[in-house]
Amino acid sequence: MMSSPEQEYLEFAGSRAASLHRTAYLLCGDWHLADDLVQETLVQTFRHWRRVQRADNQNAYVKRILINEFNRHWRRYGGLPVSADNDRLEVAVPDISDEVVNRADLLCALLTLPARQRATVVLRYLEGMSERETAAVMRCSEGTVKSQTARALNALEGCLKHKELPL
Amino acid sequence: MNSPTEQQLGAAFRDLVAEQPFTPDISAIEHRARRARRRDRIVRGGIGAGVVAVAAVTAVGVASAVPSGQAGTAQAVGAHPTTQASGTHPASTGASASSSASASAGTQQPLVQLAALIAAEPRPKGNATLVERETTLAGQATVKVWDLYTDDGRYFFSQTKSGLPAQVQADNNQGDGLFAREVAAATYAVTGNLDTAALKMAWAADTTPPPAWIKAQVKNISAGGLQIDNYVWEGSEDALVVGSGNPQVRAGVLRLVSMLPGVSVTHGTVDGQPALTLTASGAEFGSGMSYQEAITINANTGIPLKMDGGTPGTVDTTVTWVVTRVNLADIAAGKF
Repeated sequence: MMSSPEQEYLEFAGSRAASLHRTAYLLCGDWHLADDLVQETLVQTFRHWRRVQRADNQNAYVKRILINEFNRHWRRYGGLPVSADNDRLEVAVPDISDEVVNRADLLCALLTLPARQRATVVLRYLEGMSERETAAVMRCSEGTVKSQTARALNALEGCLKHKELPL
Repeated sequence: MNSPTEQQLGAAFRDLVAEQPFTPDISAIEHRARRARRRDRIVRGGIGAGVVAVAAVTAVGVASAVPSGQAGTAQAVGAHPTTQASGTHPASTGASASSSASASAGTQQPLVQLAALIAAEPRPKGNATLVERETTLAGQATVKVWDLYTDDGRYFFSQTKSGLPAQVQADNNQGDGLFAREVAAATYAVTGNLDTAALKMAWAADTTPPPAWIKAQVKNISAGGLQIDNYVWEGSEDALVVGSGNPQVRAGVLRLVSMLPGVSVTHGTVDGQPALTLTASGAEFGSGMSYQEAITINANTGIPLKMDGGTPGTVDTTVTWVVTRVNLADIAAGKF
C-alpha cells in the first residue's frame, strides 16, 4: 500500500509538472532537455520530500531545485544546451501572431541572455512571480532581481514589436 | 503594475510554451530517488545504530582480503592462487574471454583483461561471503559492521560479530531480491552481450520491465553522463561487494564498469597489494556532479579493497572491507 507521504508527493508532482516543464523549456530551449530537467527536479523533490513539505513556499522551493538543475547542466556543458541559431529552435506552435512577436526570434534572444537574467525574466513573466518571490528562488536581493530584469528587458525589447494598446 | 513591454513579454512567453504536453515518468523518478536516498544513507549512515542496517544494504565500497584461518572456510585471496602467483594479466587470457562477449569501443582494457583472468578461476569453497565493513566519515568515529551474503541471495546483517550467528539462526534475511538481480546481471556480463548486461544492471533495482527511455540510453552509453551510466555504476558497486567472494561476479562487474566512459583507471598499491583504482567522475552521478567515488580493487583478484567518496580532492567517506568465504552453517554455529 502506498504511504501517505508518497501519495502526497504524487499529487504534488502531478500538479506542478506542467508548470515546471514550461519553465524548463524557456530556460533551455529544448523540449527533450526540459523533460530531463523536470524529471531530475522531481527526483530531487522526491528525495527531499519531507523538507519540501516543510517549506513555507513549496512552489518556490521546487522552482529553486529546477534552477539548480538547469545551472548544473549549464556549467557541465559550458553553454547553451541548444544552438542559438533560430533555424534550429523548436517553437511549440506556429507563429500566428507575427504582427506582434516573432517567437523564434524571441526564444533565440532569450537563450542568448546570461543564465541568471534568463531565469529571472522567466520566473517574473512566465510564472508571474513578484520581485520578492523571484529573489527568494534566485537567492539574491530584490535589487538584483530589478537589475537583472532591466538588463534582460533591454535585450529582449527588440523582439517585441509594440502595437498600440487601447486606452 | 507591469509595463506594456512586460505584459507583452509575459504573453509571448506563454505562447511559446503553449500546448506542449508533459507527463512525468513517476516510475523512473522513484527508481532514481530511492537510489539517491540509499547513497545518502551510505554517506551518513555509518554513524548511528538506527541506520547502519540500511547502509549495509547499499554498501559501496571496499573490501580487503584477509585470511580468516577458520576451518571450513575459503579465504577470498586464497581462492585465487594462480593470480597471486603471476601478478600479471596475460593478454592472451583477456583476448580469449572477451571474444565471447561484445565490448564497447571505449572499454577500459586493464579491466577487461583482469576480468578475463578472474573469470577463468574456479569458484571458491563455501556458500556465503562474509564482509567485515568499516565506515569512516570525515570528523566522525569509525563504525565496523558485518554483512553476510549467501550464494542463494540472502543477506544477513549485524552490528557486532557476535550477533551475526543469531541473525542466521533466526533466518533474518534482509535481502529483498535486489542483490540477487545485481549479481545475476554481473554474472551475465561475463560472457553475455554487454549492452544487455548493462540494461539488466541498470534496472536491477526494479522488478518491472525496463522502460523505453532507458533502453534507448543503452545505445548511447559511450556518450557518457547518462542516467544509465549512474545506474550501472551503482548497481555494479553493490554487486562487487555482494559478490566479492565469487570470481564470476567480480569479472562481470569489471566488464560492465569497463564500458562506462566516465570511469578512469589508475594503478597503485594499498597496504602492499597491487591495486587498481576506478574513479567515477561526477558525470556518473547525475545531478550530484561534484560528488565522485573511487573504488580500489586488488589488481590481481579484483576483490574490492576500499571506496573513497567525496568531492574532488576531498574524501568525505571511506569504506573498507575484509572479505572471507564461509559456510553458512559455520556462521550459525559461531565458528568464524
